[in-house]
Amino acid sequence: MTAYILRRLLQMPLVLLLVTAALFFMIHLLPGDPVYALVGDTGQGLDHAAMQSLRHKLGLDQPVPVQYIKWVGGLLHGDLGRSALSHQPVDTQIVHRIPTTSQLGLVALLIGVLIGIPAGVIAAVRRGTWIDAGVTGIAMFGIAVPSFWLAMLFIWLFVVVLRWLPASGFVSIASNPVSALRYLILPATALGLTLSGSIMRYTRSSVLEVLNQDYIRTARAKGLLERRVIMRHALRNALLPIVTIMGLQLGALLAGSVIIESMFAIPGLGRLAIDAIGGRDYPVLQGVVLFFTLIVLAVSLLTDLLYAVVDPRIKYA
Amino acid sequence: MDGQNYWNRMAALRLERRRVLKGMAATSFGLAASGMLAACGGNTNNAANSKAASPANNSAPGTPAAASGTRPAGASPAAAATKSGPPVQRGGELIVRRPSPFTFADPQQSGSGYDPAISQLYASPLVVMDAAAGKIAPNIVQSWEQTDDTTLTFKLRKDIMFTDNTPLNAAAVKFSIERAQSKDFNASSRRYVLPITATEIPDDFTITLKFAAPNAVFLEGLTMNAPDGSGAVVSPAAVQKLGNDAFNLNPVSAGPYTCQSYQRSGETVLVKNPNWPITAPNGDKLPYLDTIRFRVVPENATALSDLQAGNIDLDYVFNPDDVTTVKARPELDFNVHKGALSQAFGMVTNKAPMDNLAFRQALCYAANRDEAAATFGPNGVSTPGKGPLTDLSWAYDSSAPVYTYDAEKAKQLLAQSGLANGAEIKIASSTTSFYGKFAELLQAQLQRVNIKSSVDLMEAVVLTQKFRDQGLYQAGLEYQGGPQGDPYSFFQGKYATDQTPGHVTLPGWDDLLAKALKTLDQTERKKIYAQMQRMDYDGAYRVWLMNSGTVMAFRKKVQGASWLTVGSAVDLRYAWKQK
Repeated sequence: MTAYILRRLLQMPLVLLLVTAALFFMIHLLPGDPVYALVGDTGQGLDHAAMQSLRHKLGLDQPVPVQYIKWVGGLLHGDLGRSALSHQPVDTQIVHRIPTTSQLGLVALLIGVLIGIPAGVIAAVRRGTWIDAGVTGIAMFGIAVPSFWLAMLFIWLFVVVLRWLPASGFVSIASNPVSALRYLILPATALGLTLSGSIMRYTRSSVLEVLNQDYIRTARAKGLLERRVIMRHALRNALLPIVTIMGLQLGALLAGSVIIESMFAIPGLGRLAIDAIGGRDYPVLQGVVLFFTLIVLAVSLLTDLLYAVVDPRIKYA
Repeated sequence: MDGQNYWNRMAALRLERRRVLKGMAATSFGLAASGMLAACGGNTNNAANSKAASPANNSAPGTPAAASGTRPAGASPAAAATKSGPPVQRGGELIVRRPSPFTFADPQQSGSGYDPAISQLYASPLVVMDAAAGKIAPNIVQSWEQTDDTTLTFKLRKDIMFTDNTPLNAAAVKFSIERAQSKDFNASSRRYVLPITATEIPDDFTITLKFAAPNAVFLEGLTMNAPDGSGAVVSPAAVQKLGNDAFNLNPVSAGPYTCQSYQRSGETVLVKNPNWPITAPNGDKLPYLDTIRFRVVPENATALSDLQAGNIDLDYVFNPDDVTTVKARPELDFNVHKGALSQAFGMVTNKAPMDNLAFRQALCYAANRDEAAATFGPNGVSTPGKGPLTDLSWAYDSSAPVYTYDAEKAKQLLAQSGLANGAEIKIASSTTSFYGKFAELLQAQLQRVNIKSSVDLMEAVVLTQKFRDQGLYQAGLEYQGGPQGDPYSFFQGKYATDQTPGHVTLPGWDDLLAKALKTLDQTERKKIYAQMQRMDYDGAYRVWLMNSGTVMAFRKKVQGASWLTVGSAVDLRYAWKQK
């Protein structure tokens, strides 16, 4: 197991290098000199002297490969650079926003799991009935409908019509849990519902497969309660693919947060990325993508390790 | 004067009364849709109209003396909401929306025209613009004197302390000027203070500024904070203690509010400064509110929903398309700052066929500005463009000739230009907002007089680079803040050789701009600006298409907000909220 973890950890820098290199060069393919976005036209004319000064300060007057090597060099020293827009260190900005996006992601994941797993189990147990058809239909709807559409619908219903919840803003769970939930519930549900569709589909098929196993028949023959058979024997053994899909969905969750954070005015990492793209803030954009890549890689590793916990038969050499 | 009388006076000063309009709004979110019918409208006034803010004995050269006195954009939700003028209520919290990040909390460093709305509340500028009177008025600077053409002396108030309890004195002003001048600091406000060559401090509350050459527009640059001016004074002790990075997160200056917390893309919270000595025009102690929260909400639909639900009190960058929805809600109102933005069709005048005067004039006649304003200015927010200036500037010359739509004349001029059989041009336009569709409308209008065109849509930053700076297109759609007050910066930013599209030298402009900058007498400067308007007409350098208004929408319980003299910045110094 330790050797496996070490091997995976050693692969990470290579993957990160490839991802960041691809991103770095892709960003520079975007049309438009970032300096124009930063100090270009303030409505009082172009300040060419300030533009030239900033271009030099940001190192944008150097060839792209040189810029990349310098960025990687900084990275090795733990320096992600400074934002071209706010002049603040990139790592500080990312660190400040991690709790916000984490809270949104975790609540969304919780909603996805709390809806997806029970619904999947019910659909599997009631296979072929109207309940199965209904739950499957809702799951397909959840998969098909984009989170931003759900967000718009929620805002219309819960903010404009019912006036129950706010549409914009964010309060940290640590500072005020009740108020935080008021702000989080709509964006997290919009994200979580789309996630729950996938979880439900995988749970249903996985539980169905397990329900046909001999040991389930044995459990029932022993006279165990059906609830115990499902929860203890079927669901537990069906969890492996569900854990996989939850790991895979993390990327979708992060991507969804970019849109949802903008819609609900949540100052998280997604918003940071959007602002950085709009303002051609290369250092911040590179920093955020690097962080997202790291998270996806870490969760992928964690998912693999969880296999062994969920299913003791799995051994890593 | 008590609060009641003050607001009665404000109501009486309204330039435009409540107007009744009818409309239908359909708001749909996917499958859900709702229609609304309604009425009621916006009106204008200016709560910043200030007796206290009238200059004592200062009519320094370079200071705009009272001009037209009519500022139709001066807007007061106070007047909008109440005819009877309710008494001012103190306390409470105001939640204000803006769509883009608050770029810098450091009041000398900001990069967005929306920022002064926030920074001027905790970093009150040295002088202020008395919008109603159209002239500069004292603020932190109590009086000023233009000793000679290149020397300006400020006398500061002696009762202002920074919020770190250090005094705001001449040394602090000198420090702030030198900080803004610093190349390393590289603030957007740097250009305003660069002309200062030396500073002297005769006593603790007097500072003398020396210039290499007369500078007619310097003082007006001190009425705003960055990026539209350099009026902010910062605490030297705080800057030295914190350094620039930390100071940006914890700015220390002096104003009716204190910046309690700053989040670039989240909420910035300002709390009441109990020690602020400058009073309201009626003598009331300021500020009225306990707290103002500025919340960055990028999506218009989200902001509108929160405004309707009461989660936001005021939106000062309101989407004009949503005014219909506001009209339908009795608890909401709106106010238009007419002419705050201008849209024009810019040309690279050394590129054929734009190098042909008759062809440029044909374009000026071919553009149907009424159609553009009706199409892209819903709810009367926009008016047809007439020229570079509007009555928001005291330099506006209403007698200046203007181009209006005349297809026949356009065709005649085309024939005169030798292009009667048609011409083809490439237009650059932005993907931002409605500018893509605007370009398409213009394309259709030009087609009517047999001018073919193709439109390339691009991000605003690419448009600036490719059209404005590099001149790679023959024409491009330009949009900018409409000039208010002294139009020097506007003309300089449009017609100086290093600023025209493609950096083409336009005959006579550079010299005239230099002359305007050195002419301290306002009457003479006004003549120069009138000459510029005439030169713009004669040269047909731009098709002035439309003047758009910026819109603030608010809950009617919000009182006392007005417009600052820049495009989309709101003045909340006198804002209060009915409980």
